[in-house]
Amino acid sequence: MVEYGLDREFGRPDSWAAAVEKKYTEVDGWAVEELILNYWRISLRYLHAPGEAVSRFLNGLKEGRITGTQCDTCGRVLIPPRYFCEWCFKRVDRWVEHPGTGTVSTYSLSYIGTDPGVRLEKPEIVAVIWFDGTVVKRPASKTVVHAAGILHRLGGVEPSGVRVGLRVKPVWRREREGSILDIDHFEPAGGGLV
Amino acid sequence: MRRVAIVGAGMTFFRSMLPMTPQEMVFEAVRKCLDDAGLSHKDVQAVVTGSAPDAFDGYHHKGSVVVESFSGMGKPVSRVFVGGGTGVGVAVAGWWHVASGAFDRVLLVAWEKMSHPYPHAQPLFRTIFDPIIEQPLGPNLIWIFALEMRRYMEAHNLKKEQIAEVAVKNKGNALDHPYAQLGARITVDDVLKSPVLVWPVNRLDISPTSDGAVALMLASEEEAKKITDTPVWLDGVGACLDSQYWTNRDLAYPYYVYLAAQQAYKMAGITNPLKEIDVFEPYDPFTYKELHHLDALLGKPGLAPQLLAEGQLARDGDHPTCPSGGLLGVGNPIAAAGLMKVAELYWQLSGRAGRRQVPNAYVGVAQAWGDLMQVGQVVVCRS
Repeated sequence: MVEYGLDREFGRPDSWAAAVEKKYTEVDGWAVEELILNYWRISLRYLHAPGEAVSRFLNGLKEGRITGTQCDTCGRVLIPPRYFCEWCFKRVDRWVEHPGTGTVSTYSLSYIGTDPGVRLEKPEIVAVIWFDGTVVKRPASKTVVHAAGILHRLGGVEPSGVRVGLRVKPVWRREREGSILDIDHFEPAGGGLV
Repeated sequence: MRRVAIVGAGMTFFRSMLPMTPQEMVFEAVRKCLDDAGLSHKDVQAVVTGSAPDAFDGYHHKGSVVVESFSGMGKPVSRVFVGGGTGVGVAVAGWWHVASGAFDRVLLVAWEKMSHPYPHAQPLFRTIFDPIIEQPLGPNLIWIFALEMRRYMEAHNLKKEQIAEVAVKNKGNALDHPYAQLGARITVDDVLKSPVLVWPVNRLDISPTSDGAVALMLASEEEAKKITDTPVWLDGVGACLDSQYWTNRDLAYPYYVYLAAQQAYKMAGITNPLKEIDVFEPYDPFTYKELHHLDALLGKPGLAPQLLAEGQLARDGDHPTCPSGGLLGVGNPIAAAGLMKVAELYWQLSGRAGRRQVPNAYVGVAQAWGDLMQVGQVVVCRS
């Protein structure tokens, strides 16, 4: 700490601009270029199995269908599907098909890419979609305690036109391979806000 | 269960400390903590550690790699990991060690070195998304925070301007923290004009990545009385995990934080947190998170933004919140940031907080949150 001056109070920014624009290689007293550093790269690859329930969900997407499981005891529709209900803690075997229409529970506008260093010209609209007829509320507080829903992109709408409660429907890709991307995006279904 | 006390604390600066190893950082914090408590490393009976994924460091078992730095050889050492909730989780697990009667003197240490991954730790964070149904969409980490923030804004009809006040307050508070990374005097306008990353999250809504280490010493009641005249009692702990299926939950209210807080309050005999608690240290990696968590700590959705607007969350307000400067101001070396909040309670409640001192502070609550928006870790302290 002493050698690199890290034991001292230093570099207190005068403004936020100075604070956030300071480059990580320019910390007072030392710079990355002047240090003896070991550069090490790890390359890892993974094969993730979707498992019993999600495999069936992905096969459904390939056929242009959104499927989920439904618990016989609590009645919840589970999308993404699982083969057991975590509330009732029992196996769930019943499969249901959903048209995929729903509402935007929440959304955001991503001005950065998957790599946060990449700035996007036009923001990507990201949303959590809650499927129609699957929302369970706690009667006393009207708090939503469960909704079958997924994360996806929105299209066919301007960023300024998106609202929480917007009704949406899936837009399918012509070539499908059993991936969440078989749904290209969700677009406004008409019918205004819910 | 036995009563548990905090009898010492120590921390390093929070900032990029690329030239140092985690071992050097941790030693620094632990040495300061033992000096504060007036104890020797030989007095430590067991160690509870906390640090974020091994992937940040690029090597495995990072919990035991730094064993020399906390003198853990020949002692029981465990590691807590619940994402961002880790820091406060360390204090919760430390309480289990001492309250159970298993140990009398337990060292808590949490550290993070986020400057290891090059050029940035961001791609590692991104691995929290489901590899099959979310990763193909190409998410970046901020997506989920922006989604949660937007839902929170919708639930209580909040504007970005209102939420931005949190950054102004916390970065301002951090000017008085001797170890802070981003203390600054800023305005709401600065926050709103900083680059939009994922709307509604701007650059200044986010806490900085950082390196740092924090250590705390816990002791049983009998031992604490031998060690110090000013112990701070760890009177309540609570922990709660919610479902991994975050798209199936309503993000407007962190119910799991509420449940964790209720456990801690019950243990500490607190029935009206707003009246009985003098200092709040909710987890604030993002501006809205402070309000979101404070809502749950108070058990009243939508109350925190009102208190903020009335100025009651300021250090000299009725309900001082993040007087340390929080993660937004002091910095966010993940696990260390959580334990820093517990250390802040120790300093505040024992009257050692210097320029940050909240007058008449006797009861405090610290909280952290993590994993995929699903962990609540809460501790209640009393002097």
